[in-house]
Amino acid sequence: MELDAKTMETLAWLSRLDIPQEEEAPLSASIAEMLSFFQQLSALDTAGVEPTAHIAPLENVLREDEPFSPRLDRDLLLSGTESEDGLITLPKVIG
Amino acid sequence: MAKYESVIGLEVHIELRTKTKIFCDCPADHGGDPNTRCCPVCMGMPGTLPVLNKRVVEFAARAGMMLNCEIAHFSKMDRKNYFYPDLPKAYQISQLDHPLCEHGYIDINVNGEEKRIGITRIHIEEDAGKLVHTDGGSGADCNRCGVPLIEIVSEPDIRTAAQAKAYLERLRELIRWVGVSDCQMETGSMRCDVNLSIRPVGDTNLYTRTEIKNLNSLKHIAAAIDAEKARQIDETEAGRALVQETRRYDPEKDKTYSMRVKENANDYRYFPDPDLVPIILTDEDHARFRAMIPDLPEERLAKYVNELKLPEATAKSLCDEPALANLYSAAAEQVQQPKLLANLMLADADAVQIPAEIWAELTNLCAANKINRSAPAKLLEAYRESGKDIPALVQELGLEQVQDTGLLNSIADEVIAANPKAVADYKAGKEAAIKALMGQVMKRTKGAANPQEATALLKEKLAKL
Repeated sequence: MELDAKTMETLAWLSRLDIPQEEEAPLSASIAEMLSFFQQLSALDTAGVEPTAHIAPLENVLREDEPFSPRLDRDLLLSGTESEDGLITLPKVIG
Repeated sequence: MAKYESVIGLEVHIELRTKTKIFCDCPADHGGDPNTRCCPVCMGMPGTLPVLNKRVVEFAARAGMMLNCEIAHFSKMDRKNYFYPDLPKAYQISQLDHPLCEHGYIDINVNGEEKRIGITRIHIEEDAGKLVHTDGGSGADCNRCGVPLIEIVSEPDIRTAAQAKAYLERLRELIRWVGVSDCQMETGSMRCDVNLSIRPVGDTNLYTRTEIKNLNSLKHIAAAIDAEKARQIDETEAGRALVQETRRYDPEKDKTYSMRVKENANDYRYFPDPDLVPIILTDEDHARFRAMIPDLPEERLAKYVNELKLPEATAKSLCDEPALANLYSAAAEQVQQPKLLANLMLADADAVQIPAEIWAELTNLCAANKINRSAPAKLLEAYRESGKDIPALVQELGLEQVQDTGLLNSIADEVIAANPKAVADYKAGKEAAIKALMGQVMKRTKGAANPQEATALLKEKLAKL
């Protein structure tokens, strides 16, 4: 399965990746290989088969609308990231 | 003569008023210091698992029924992938191909013209967080992450700004009425995006549309529709092709501007969320939700006016606040004087905090002249403080109406003797002077005299002088 330059460009944008030009061809080949692996699935005849929503035979796993857990301390929640005044620090975003 | 008409569809997001968020038990209401109403689940930390809030399904189904939708028997959650700093998981849990509700409608009336606006679908999803922009950079607050939303997508049936406004007003009224959200555009619990294209009048095709996002008032929505229609006409007349894009409206300049979102960015790569299992609603579930759907607001108003004989203004005041109207209906079943009940309830600023039985009890005591019309306010204050039952409070505060005519008789004599000036004024034809005497009677009985009886008694005595 071939991936054209336009598809590669779209994938890179969607993944927010800046792919150096010399890596484009090997990466494209590598993705194509992965896709062909999955393409084996299309050998199966799925006509008339209901699309599967979930592989587990479960439904309606729901919780009551009640507060239960004690709240975690904010310092703990934010300990894995940079923060200032309780806000998670981000690069400047134009809102 | 108008050469072009607008073809408008609206996407409305409404926050559901649940106690907790859609996939975790963090509080779902507004407020709180940044990042104090969130947890590893709504912050999208690795290894966490979402569990759907049962009430979100119920609220969304009730909203759908109120808007004449068909409710699904099978529904599921999907992931919508995009990068934005207010979305910690880099995907929003939403619904793609099996929304909870479909094929509804709202009837609107603009200048006497009835029109039915189709509702394509209503799905449930989680809200994103908020970005705070400062001089130094931007910060993310996750308090709103995971607040439950319904997205209500209309058919492109709307033609004018006035119709859009009427649709949104009716939508707001019905959703508030069914009790699942307060729908306040000012606080963001109701938000609207507009999809708009133009076409020559008489044409039935759909052409390139633009989406106007982040509109925060009905006024701006109407103005943005007019501005965007004018822009699309100008572009078309000038022979320039329209591009499908997202725009924003600047109310100061009364113009829409392209948000310059990169082309193809809207590739959300939806797929079923493997962390969440399907939602199955049986006929019994549907019936249970159906039982919670109230009559329409105008039906309720008509019932209040025609059956309970409330003045129209009183009925409207009750129906303005769905919770108040529901409480009133519950209490009204237990009283003989529904108008008195309405007046008592509307005189209280926080009537919805008092149970229907208490309202009925107060009304019935007043109606039977066991307490005075001024007593309920005092009783409510005492009830709020102590929570004691009403008969006990009536006793405690000495609010039983004085039924003892002998006592009232002697008090009236005392008052007449002690107020010669007011008596003289009354005898001289100043009828209003009796009010001063009445005031004295009420004071001496600590407000417990029956005002009609006391007035009659005073008049009788004064006539004999």
